[in-house]
Amino acid sequence: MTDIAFSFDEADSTAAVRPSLRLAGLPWIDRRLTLVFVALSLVPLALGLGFGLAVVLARGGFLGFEPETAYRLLTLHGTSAFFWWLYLAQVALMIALAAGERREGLAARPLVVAAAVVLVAGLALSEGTAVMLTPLLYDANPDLGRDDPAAVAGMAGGHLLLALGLALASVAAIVTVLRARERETGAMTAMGFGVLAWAGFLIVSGIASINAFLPNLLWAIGRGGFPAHAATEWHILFHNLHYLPLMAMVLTWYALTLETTGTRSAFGASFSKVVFASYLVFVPPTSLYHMFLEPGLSEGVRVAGTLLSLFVSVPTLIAFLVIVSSLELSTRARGAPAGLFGWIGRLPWRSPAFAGMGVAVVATLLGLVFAFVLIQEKFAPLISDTFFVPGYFHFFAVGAVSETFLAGFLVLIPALGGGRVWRPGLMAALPWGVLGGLLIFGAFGIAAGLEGVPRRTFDVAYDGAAPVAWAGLMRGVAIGGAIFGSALVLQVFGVVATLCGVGRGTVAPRRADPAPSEADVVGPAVAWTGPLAVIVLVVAMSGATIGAFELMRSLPIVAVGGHSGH
Amino acid sequence: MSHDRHFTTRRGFVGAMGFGALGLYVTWAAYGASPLPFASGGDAAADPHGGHAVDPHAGHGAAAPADPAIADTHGGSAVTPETFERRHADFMKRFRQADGSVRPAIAAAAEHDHGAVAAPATMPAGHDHGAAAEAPAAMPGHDHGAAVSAPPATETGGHAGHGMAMPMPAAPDAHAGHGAGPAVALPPLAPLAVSTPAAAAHADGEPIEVFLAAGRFAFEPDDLRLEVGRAYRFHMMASDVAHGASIAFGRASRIVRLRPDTVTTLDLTFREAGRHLVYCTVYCGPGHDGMHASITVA
Ligand code: HEM
Ligand SMILES: [Cu+2]
Repeated sequence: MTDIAFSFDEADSTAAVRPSLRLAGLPWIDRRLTLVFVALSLVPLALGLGFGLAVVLARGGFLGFEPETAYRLLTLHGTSAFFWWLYLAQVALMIALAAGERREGLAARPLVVAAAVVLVAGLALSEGTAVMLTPLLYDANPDLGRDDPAAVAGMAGGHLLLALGLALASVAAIVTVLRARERETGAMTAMGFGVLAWAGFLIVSGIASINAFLPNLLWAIGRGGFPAHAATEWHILFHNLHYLPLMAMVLTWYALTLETTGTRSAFGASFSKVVFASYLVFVPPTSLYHMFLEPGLSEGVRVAGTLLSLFVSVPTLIAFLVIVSSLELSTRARGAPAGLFGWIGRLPWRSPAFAGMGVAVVATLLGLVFAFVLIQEKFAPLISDTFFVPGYFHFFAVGAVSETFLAGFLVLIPALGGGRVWRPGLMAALPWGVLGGLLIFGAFGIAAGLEGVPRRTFDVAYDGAAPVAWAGLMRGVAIGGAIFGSALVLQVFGVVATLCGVGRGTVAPRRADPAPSEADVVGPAVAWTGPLAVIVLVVAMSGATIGAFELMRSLPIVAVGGHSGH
Repeated sequence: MSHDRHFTTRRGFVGAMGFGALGLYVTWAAYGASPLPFASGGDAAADPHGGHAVDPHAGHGAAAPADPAIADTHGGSAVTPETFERRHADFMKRFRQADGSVRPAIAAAAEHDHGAVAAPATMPAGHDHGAAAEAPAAMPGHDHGAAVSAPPATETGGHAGHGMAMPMPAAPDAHAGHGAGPAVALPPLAPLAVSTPAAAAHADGEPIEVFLAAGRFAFEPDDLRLEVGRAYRFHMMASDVAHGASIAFGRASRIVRLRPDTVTTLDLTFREAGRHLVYCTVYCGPGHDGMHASITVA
């Protein structure tokens, strides 16, 4: 029975072996392969950070670029940070968690090696195209590349290689988890199941990516007609693309919770499995809201999209509750002070990985508050293409997902390669610096968006025709961006330094703490913190929504029903 | 699982709490913006605001654009993607001034038969469109105009129709001292009414047609001069790649995305003099940065 996942339902429920212990026992080749992916993913992260800083400073008016250069930087930022960093990091975490399920390590190892080769080629192609050819932004709309088909081909090719690499690694992860199950008791752990769902979702997105980019590539190399449906295919792909990292984040939270606190879910493995599977149920049907501004979208679709959109948060919120309540119960069982929130102080905040995860949880809640303003179809005409969008989604992209993945790396690297985390005190503080910067960036960015400042526009003065308040708001955005960007740069440096320590010193994972048994943990104990947080979240979401409605009413044009028609 | 668990530690409770965000639905409903089942969606009775507690205004008009008759109404004058280019060219030729600005006048409207006759008759009884346009006047001296609002119509290949509209009155202005107000370089916040074609026609007589084309990297016309209090019917279309148009009001903007081969129609009535920035909202190439126009209302 593997026990990387925490599950009271399973036979040997007392053995809560920390993920690091299982990883340390993997074959050398698997440990190295995983570290290669960790290192590989840091390349686009570092690039994305650099380009992001340049973009944010340009938007704040602190740096000036020719428009072409500015859009090149934005293309590079989106491509590096979103596509390559978030997806390469997922491969690293996914193969680690899959391998950890099986004592012999990865099955179908050649697929993983092939994935590495394909992904390196794709990364090089994407970055090279974005550096040298017409900047098309990360969605590489072929309409904009009619004069430069090579740019369309390069971007599409990069995205397709990414999809192929992800598919190869996902198949390997699936085979590994299935083999692990066969060899052992026949049951699958919650984590094993989660990896299956995640890898499956990655493959589905790979198919969506082929739908979106293969026609573009064929056209660009003269083998096909002009892709007429590029925009729609992109929407479908993109929707999946930004929930996948959230699902990966939640699975990583499960593993990090066990690793840093020895806590397993107090709700049982089968419940966790339902939660993981629910991503596949709730995410794909909710994609409609991205199209609220499209002319020609029927009202029925618009209504359905608005209704469904609320469900998209369900899996993430349940996972949040499972983790927070399990932590509360186990911390109380170990003698945390009484009182509603006293237990929080007992959590291992000095652990860099735990601090990263804690910040990620907070950032997720912050992001959710604003995400649902955008999702409301009535507000789409006010804020859809404004800075509101990057203003709030960096809470997810950076504060939640990137911080979680980096926290995961800080566990992975020492476990797989030995060595210690570089300056753990500093590394435990940096996530808070990121969160602070994000709060400034997000506050100014959301305000700017509500006042109409467009996204993807560098000179918002418009020859003096724009409201002067815009420039000041964007300066605030740039200051917040500079703060979280710098904190992230230091974090990446710390991860690289940790990686450089690999090989020095032996692999010496800590022994598993005796995890409290279910009887200790769950009895009459209460767990109110998670539910209260959800209540606060819902109140805050409503507040944001009411604020947006009031703003809408106060406008000279009251943009109700606002969309581009039928 | 043991049976004496506290309810907060039960799966059912945690699972149910996970659906918490659905509570937002109540807020949407309170604002009449929830599609189903609280608001009457899409039918001729669409006035989710009427009598709502949150809504201090009784006299706002409700457009009921879902009424299929409205689609018929301007079906007769529908600007199709096929005719847009020619009519846009006519429009530019006719109204361009020596200084490059464009001042559309009534002649444009007269040029085409709108079949406006049908409009009032097709509105459900009890909907007072005039009141909608009047709403701003009832506002204590602040500079927000306000208005009935409804989705602009989009006509793709001759197909015209409207979805449900959620008219909402302007709330009393709580933002007079808002930072952006005084800071705005332009005369701030000239009032504007956005309305359905039928409602505008009813309130203000036949709207004057305006043709706005968006192409890389400019709007045409890019210096539009309009009159206070007149109803204008904007027909907008992208001429090459997708663009967007956002009319900035200093405190927010109103955005429509424009596609090639799709005509988007929006009725606007500006209630105060002022100058508004109009900017492109969809990345359309390096010149996107700076693609803008202005609407000056006098
Ligand atoms: C590391 C994780 C990050 C991810 C995944 C990420 C992702 C993205 C994405 C997908 C976009 C949209 C690009 C587009 O509109 O074409 C974007 C825009 C932006 N990012 Fe990031 N980002 C990250 C970090 C950063 C950092 C560190 C900064 C600055 C310090 C930054 C600043 C910006 C700004 C200012 C924009 C908006 C540009 C605009 O719309 O004009 N991002 N980011
Ligand atoms: Cu444009």
